[in-house]
Amino acid sequence: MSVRLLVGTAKGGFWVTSDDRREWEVTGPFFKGWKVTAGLRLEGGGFVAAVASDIYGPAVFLSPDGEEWEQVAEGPAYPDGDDRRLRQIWTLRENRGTLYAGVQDAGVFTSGDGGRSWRPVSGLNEHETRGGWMPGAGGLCCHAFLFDHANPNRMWCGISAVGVFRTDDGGGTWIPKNRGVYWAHEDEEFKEIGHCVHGLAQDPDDPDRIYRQDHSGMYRSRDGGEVWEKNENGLATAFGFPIVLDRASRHLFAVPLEADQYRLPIGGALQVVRSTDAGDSWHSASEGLPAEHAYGGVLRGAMAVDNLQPGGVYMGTTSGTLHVSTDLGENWINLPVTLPRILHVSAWVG
Amino acid sequence: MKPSVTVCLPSLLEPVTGGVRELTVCGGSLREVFADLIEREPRLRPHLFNEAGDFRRHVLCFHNGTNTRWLAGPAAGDDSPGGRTNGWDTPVDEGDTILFMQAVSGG
Repeated sequence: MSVRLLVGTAKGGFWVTSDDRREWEVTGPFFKGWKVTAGLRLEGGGFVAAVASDIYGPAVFLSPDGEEWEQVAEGPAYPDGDDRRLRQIWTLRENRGTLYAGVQDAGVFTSGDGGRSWRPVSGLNEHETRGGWMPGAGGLCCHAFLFDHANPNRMWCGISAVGVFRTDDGGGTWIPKNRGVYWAHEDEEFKEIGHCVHGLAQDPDDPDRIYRQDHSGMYRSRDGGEVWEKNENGLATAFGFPIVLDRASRHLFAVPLEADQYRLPIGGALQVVRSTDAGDSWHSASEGLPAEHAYGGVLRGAMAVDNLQPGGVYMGTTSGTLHVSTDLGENWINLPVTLPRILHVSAWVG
Repeated sequence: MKPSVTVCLPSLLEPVTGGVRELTVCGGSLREVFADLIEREPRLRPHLFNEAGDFRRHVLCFHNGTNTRWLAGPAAGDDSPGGRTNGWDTPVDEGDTILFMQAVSGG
């Protein structure tokens, strides 16, 4: 079964493809010189990519084949004169034919026409707590979405240094859902925000079972985010950014870093931790990863799974190294590439 | 008939224009030239101009080799919002060249 990875870096995008998950071919860069910050393969075919430049700003591009790209004319944008700026698109997701873009400055935009035009989700973007939203070290960004596949009106989003929000009415109103999570910073007025979610994953059978890699540790909710509990059994450090779930095995994967003032692999050894029991316990799954002199971290969008059996796990580091496991983290290979700083990894089958 | 001028774009913007680096646009002033440029290539707008209609912070624009930031205006060189548009009423002539570049600084 062929697998296609979109690897977004600080200096362009790369395709990493394999027909057997043993031999990998790297092509690129495309969008040379631009940050490639998010990617999506549309359910109906074609690709969406988010790019950004420190000089020229962000944009959304569409492609029918991943080769020829065209910028959309009406990308996500705050109104002229607004004090917010669209600085970067952090994540792209599709649910029930609607595309979702999580952006910095923090907000959500949706597209109902395959990414050609976008409109703001005012219930979130103009949220009553907005005045208390403060940027974290990565900026004030919305970077994660989860969806309730049984209930089209219910979804979650994660905003760095603000927290998790849930809507139960199709995006009209959003309620902060952070009870039990330590504050990153406590707002004087809005006590339900100030929680720094780094990554989210969700059980495909039970959408209320959500896993949260937070600035303040590893958490799990069994009730859609109403209450969060720490689940750090086996973790030497609970700080990190990505968390992904393999849909076939239900295994969870994360990348622990030495917190938070350092943000480095512990002792110079790049590690992955895995939970095979729904977050009850965590164990190292790092065989084959660089065990010394490895100081590149893994950013929140730079880890992905392919959901094959056995599951493939893929991650790229801030040092530009790319790592592949095709047996659910039992063994890793380090691809012989040194790319620019890796911001994003997506994996698609076929 | 308004003068036609040549606009040259940096290579980084090739993905935006589909590889086009040079365009011919029309206008009697820099302001009209910029408006015609965006009319012809609307996807350039968010990359060259900010939400206030001014150039993005690190976008440089040269008119026949002169940085438009320094053109005569009420407050030439003003970096306040809208301040860099002060010289945009400068007339242009047939065959003039407008060159966009990104400011390169640091190491």
